[in-house]
Amino acid sequence: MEPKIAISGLNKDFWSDRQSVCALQDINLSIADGEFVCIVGPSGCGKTTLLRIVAGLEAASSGTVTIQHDSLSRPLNSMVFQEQSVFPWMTVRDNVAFGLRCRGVARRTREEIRDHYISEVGLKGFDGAFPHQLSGGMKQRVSLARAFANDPEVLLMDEPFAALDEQTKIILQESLIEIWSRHRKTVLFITHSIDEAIALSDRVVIISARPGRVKDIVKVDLPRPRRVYEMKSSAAYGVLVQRIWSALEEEVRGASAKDYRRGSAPRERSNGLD
Amino acid sequence: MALTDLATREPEGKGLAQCAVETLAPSRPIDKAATAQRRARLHERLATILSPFLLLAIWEFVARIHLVDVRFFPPPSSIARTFWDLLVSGELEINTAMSLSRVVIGFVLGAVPGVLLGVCMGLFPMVRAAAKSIIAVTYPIPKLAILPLILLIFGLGETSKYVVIAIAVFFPVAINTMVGVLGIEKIYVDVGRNFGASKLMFFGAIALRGAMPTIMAGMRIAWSTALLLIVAAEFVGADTGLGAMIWRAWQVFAIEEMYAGLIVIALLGYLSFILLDWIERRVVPWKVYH
Repeated sequence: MEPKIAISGLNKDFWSDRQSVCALQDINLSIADGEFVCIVGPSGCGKTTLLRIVAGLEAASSGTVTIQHDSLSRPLNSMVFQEQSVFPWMTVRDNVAFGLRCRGVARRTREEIRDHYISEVGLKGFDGAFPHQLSGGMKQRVSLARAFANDPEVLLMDEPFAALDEQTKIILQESLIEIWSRHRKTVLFITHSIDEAIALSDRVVIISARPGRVKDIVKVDLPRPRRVYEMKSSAAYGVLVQRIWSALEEEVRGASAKDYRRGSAPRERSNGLD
Repeated sequence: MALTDLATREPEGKGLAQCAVETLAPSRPIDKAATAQRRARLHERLATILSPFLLLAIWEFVARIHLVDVRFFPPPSSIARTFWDLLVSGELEINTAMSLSRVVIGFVLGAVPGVLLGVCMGLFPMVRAAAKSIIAVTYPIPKLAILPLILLIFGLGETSKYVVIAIAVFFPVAINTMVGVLGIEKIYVDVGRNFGASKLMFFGAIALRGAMPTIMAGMRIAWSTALLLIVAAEFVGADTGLGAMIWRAWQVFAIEEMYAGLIVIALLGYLSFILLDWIERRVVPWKVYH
């Protein structure tokens, strides 16, 4: 079967101080239709850059990204951003319907789809609220609804829950699992959290420190439907964490050691287990 | 089971009642403090409302006993009488309406292109680069200084007033709009691109809406400039309007009439700012107001 997303021979170089810095090197990845794939890697490894290239927001230096366009009425991809990205000047309603409006979906249909996804992410009753009246978690729910409502071929998520507190994060992860299992969209999800990667995905792609390369791919064969906390107490879960961490550890240590040597300020020394 | 339940619950109920009494007692001083605070606030409000009247009363008194020169500071009562006469004769209304219509028409003529150019300057670096130097040179010219030129070009009719107001309004609105659009965070542009927003959506749903708070601030500046300017323009180039009325009163030394004109202008400024507040709350409902 053709992969839904095919990334082949992808390179990305940046220019800084008249020097070319290689951010991503020879990335090859194929993601099947309906698959949920998480990408983890030390900070600064270029995982966000990779996602932005897949989203078409940035250009690759070489290599190709192909997204299978099955239905031409659908947009190729919709993104859920890390930072607060819902329009503060629009109500929840207008935010969720934004993509549909961009695509010129007729008003009736638009309103139907919009209301459906607002209730699907659990924001019914907040339809007319402005983002400043919502909590951080609710804003990310709006962002999720906006992406899902757009009905894209693939969903791209760039650490959407990174800025949330632990409890809210778990609740939102469970909501995402639930919505995803209903629609079975292909998802490419960036995170720095091993826990999050295992909780959500079918496969975890580990990216090395700069230059970012695919270091390992770990299959997560935990049964679905998943409940985040129940899953964490299983033995299989511990094995997965161990496996991913051992692949990631030297990258994280290497990345911060390199920063010391270069004399630049060290990045946050994450233990990778947050 | 139920019986024992009831039996054990009874003393609990009592305990609760006691609790309530206990918590009520120490709250009394807090109550007192609250009423004291409320009273203080009421007094402050009274002071705000009464102080102008007190000032008027003092003015009336010192004018009556001729402590001040009544040729310059006629007693408020005689100003009020003149005000009333002007109102009855309809002169005040006509002049107010004339000034107001000039300001409003001139404002619209300046604000609409100001917003359009401002958004374009914010969105397109090329437009910004081209317009920047022209604006930097022309903006600081006092609009009063070009009034003679405008009167020369457009004559003494209404057009010259519209034009001078429009020019004065155009600059602050255009500049504020540009600043507002430039201040929109990049992430919203990314969202627009990712969701395939059209040029029109970028213009309306992102740039214009996002810049609205700053645009409204520009409109406020523009509106007060326009009020100031219309009076000055009417001094020299009009037969009607509040400026013309004040100027005529000066020529015939009708001091009370001058004051009547001033009162209307002050009221106009005050009321228009209340109106602008009201408009802003409707146009920018997503801003956090305190």
